[in-house]
Amino acid sequence: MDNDYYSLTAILSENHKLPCTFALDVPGLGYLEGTDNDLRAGAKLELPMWLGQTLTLNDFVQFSPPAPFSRRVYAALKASAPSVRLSGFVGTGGWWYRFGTRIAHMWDNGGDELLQTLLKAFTGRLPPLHDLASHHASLDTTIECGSGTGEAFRDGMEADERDLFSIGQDSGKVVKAWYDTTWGRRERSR
Amino acid sequence: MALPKHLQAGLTPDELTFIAEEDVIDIVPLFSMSRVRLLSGIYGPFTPPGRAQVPLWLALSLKRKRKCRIVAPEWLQVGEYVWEVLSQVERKDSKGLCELLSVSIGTIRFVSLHYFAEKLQVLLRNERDTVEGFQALPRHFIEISKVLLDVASDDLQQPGQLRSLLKDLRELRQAKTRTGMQSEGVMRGTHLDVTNMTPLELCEVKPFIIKAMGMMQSLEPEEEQD
Repeated sequence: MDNDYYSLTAILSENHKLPCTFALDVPGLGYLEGTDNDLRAGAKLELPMWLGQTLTLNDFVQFSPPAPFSRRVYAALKASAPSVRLSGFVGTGGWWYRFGTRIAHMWDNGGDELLQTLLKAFTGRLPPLHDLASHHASLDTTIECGSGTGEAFRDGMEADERDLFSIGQDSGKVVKAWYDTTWGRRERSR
Repeated sequence: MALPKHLQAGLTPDELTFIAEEDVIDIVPLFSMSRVRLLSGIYGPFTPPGRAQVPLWLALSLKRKRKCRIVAPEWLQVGEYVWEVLSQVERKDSKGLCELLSVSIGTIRFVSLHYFAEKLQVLLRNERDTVEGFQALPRHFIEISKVLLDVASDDLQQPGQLRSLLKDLRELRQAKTRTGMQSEGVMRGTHLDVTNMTPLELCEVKPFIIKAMGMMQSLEPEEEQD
């Protein structure tokens, strides 16, 4: 995953809000809450990632992990990683892993655990993902097939997994096309 | 990179087949000619009943003009003949001759197994027996077998059976790739064992596993933070 400064995917992937608690009074920022007053210490707000990150690093606010990385999700992933639908967690088809990594890197207490959970979820989901990709690559597109168990998994993939799926599918398709054509036929027809 | 996306991952199957056409193969020419000097080397002499060694591309070109018969490589043959010999010997092997023949049966068995060593069925059996990892195949096994079946199937014995054996072999190896995805190396994000995988099989797995490993790497805890 490229997290380059100019990477559009990296920018899009952190386009989410972070639940934060202010650690000090801020005069004149009450409009963030929708009031005209000053912002009190302890006020809870959802800040955009870019703002929340900077404020957290400077200890102005404390953030709590957003819902897609809560204990409930951890437990569901632990029970069966492939059956969790990651697609809807961070917006539709968002980058769950990337966003999680960003949070983990600024989270002192739970960062390592979050990274481990992400990695475990990914490795748990990799075999079904590979199966699905090779299955779709070998499919004859002219024949309509019923939706199997893989389809539920396919709907639950997040953005990077989708990429991975299409990469696996494309390379499988190229090889299948090679198997299906007679070698040198084009030469002879010339 | 400026290359189109489908070329970025490495060689395509077509390119691999092009490379495989440099491999040398035996032919029985149907014309006589003295040595001929081509840019890539000197080939011949071509004297009809005898064999000549030429690169695969030349063999295919001659074959298409019906100027030669291609001799299938040892590993692209169905090993039936030898089994027939064996069964005949065993049928003759009635009570009285048993002891007398046991030695010769032993030698025939030995000879036949030795002779059998590279035949396709044996390759298939070895593949099945090699539980961990892949069996070593000739580097351009898949490409050459496909090209020969496409262009010169009348020179091969029992092309239908060859096709089904090759398909079995391919499926066995694909199943191994699939188990490889769940291996410990992949789970720890370090490696996928591709020892003895042929380049063509690699180009099926490579783009996928590269991206997957890249993702896993970014999920590893960062060390340069401190």
